[in-house]
Amino acid sequence: MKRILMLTLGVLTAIGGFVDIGDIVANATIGARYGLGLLWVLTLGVIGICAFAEMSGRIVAVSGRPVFDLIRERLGPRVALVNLAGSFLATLLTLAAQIGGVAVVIQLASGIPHVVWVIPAGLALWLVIWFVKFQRIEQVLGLSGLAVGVFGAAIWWLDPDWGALAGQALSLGPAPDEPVPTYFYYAVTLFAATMTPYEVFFFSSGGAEEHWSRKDLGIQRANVLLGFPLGGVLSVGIAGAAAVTLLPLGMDAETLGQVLLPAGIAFGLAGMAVAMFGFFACMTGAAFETSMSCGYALAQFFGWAWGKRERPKRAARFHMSVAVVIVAAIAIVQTGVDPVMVTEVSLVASAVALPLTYLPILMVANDRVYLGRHVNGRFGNAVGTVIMVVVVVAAIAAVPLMIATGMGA
Amino acid sequence: MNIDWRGLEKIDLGTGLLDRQVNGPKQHPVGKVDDLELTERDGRIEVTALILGTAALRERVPRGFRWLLRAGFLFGGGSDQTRRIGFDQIKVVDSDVEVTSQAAESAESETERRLRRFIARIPGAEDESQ
Amino acid sequence: MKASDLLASHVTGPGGDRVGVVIDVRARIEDRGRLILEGLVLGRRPLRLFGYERRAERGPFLLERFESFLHRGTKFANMDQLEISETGQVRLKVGWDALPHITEI
Repeated sequence: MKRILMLTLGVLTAIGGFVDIGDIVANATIGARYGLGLLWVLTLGVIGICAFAEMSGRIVAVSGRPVFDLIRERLGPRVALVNLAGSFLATLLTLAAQIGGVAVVIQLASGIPHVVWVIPAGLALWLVIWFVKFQRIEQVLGLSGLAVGVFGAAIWWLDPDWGALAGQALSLGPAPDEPVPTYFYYAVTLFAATMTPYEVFFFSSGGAEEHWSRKDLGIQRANVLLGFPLGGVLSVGIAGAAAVTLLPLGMDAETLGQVLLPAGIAFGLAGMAVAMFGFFACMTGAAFETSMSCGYALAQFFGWAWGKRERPKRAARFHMSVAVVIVAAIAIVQTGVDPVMVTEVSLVASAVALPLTYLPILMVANDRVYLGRHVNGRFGNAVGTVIMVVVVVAAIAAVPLMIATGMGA
Repeated sequence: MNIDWRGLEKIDLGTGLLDRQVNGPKQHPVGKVDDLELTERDGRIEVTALILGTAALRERVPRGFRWLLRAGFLFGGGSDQTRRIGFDQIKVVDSDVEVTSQAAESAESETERRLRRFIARIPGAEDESQ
Repeated sequence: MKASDLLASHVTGPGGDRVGVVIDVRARIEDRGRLILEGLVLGRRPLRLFGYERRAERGPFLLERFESFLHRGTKFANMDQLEISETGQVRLKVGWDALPHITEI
């Protein structure tokens, strides 16, 4: 059991990265519309985040430098500032969406309107961050989030036409009657969601919070190779369950309530309860990840002390910014804006910031001053370069596709 | 002065020294190398000090982007005054710049100190690192 | 003088015309770790160096080629070939074409 608990950072990062509310709904929407047709994009994204999270974890374990340190020193203060502005905004919007989403889940469970729950949710988040140990938060949320595996189980239970599912998964383009730009809009946003910058901000800073050093390289790698693919499997479960139950009915999956349906169809009330608990845990995990990542990015750009590994009063500006970010997120939710739409917009912003985050990581992963003999091998560089090319293509295509398709309408 | 450059013979200031993290003992962050002080001596120009602080950083960011810096201050409690760390206070330069504990003490940001007094009043602020 | 005064500063040629910008400042490490300026890396456009032209190890192949391409016209001028004022204004004493390419040092 102890060994499993050492791997929760990877799982939590993945859950917060691509099983948060934006992705939950996006996966269900994609499943309801394309079945498993975009599985290749998710696979590509998981490979990408595995490669770059591993590099960033290795860099922080051996040299102590987290990702935003690398961004500022390799790209210079001006470009790093642009990245900071974009990533910070996107991450803040995602945080707002999670807090809104948590309030909605509590409403679904309790019947009490979600507006009541927003401030308590934000306050509870801050209290947990302030008082509870990093490792404890990571382990509890990482493990509880696995409850969304109920969707994958639902697919199994419903005994679908596996041949049809496989057919969807293996087709690398849209169905003949589906518009191509919209297909690629969803492809780009799904890719950006799987590789959002805050995942590597959190994973590398989290590794420092866990006091990873050279001897933890094996654990670090295990975290990556277990956590992100597992996150991918959970995502596919949600998409697949929607594909199996909602696609044949021509139903949409736009609200959280609709997304929960497949679990209910398969397992009744018990299934719904487990799914709601899982969503609650995933969104809380994402809220923790995004609020801390805002603090990490800001502190690491300016050079402040950061992290829960310091006594709170030794990292005053870091804790202050995390608190302000939570307040700002609450304010955003209170404006009544739709959290899901908010994450979609932030995904496009993320897609554009991706190259500015991943290029410095790839460069430093080859620098012997940082890594000594632990620099990338030829295989690592090959994968890294291919993913970089995809990242650049996605960054260039994101805004035009968003405009051309009216955000996937 | 006796800086351990870990075997380096030459260094490009922009790529290799500027914008690096400055840490005190036990990797406690002090700030970034926001600028460098150059002094002319005997016909040669020598790098004599690290300069830390957002006032120095502002100079290196084009005018159009400076409002972004100010926006960042909103979250972190304000800007920093400029501090100087003489080269004689540097111990090691590899992926970061390690300075002596005296330098780390005296170069600590006033903003951080001020916020610390405020945060120390919240219960739990003294708790062991978590 | 500060490093920021030099970096990105315009470089005037022997004839007084603008020939380029300062991309980076190269220094050598002397005994006991003192850093003495050795020269300036100059280019037509203010692009950053990645560091590959100085390091022994290889980075990702495509990235190295890309940097070589970006910096195909980037030069190095040693201190004797430059006149640097107290405020960081840089004047080149020799012609631009007489300067070596950065990788030829």
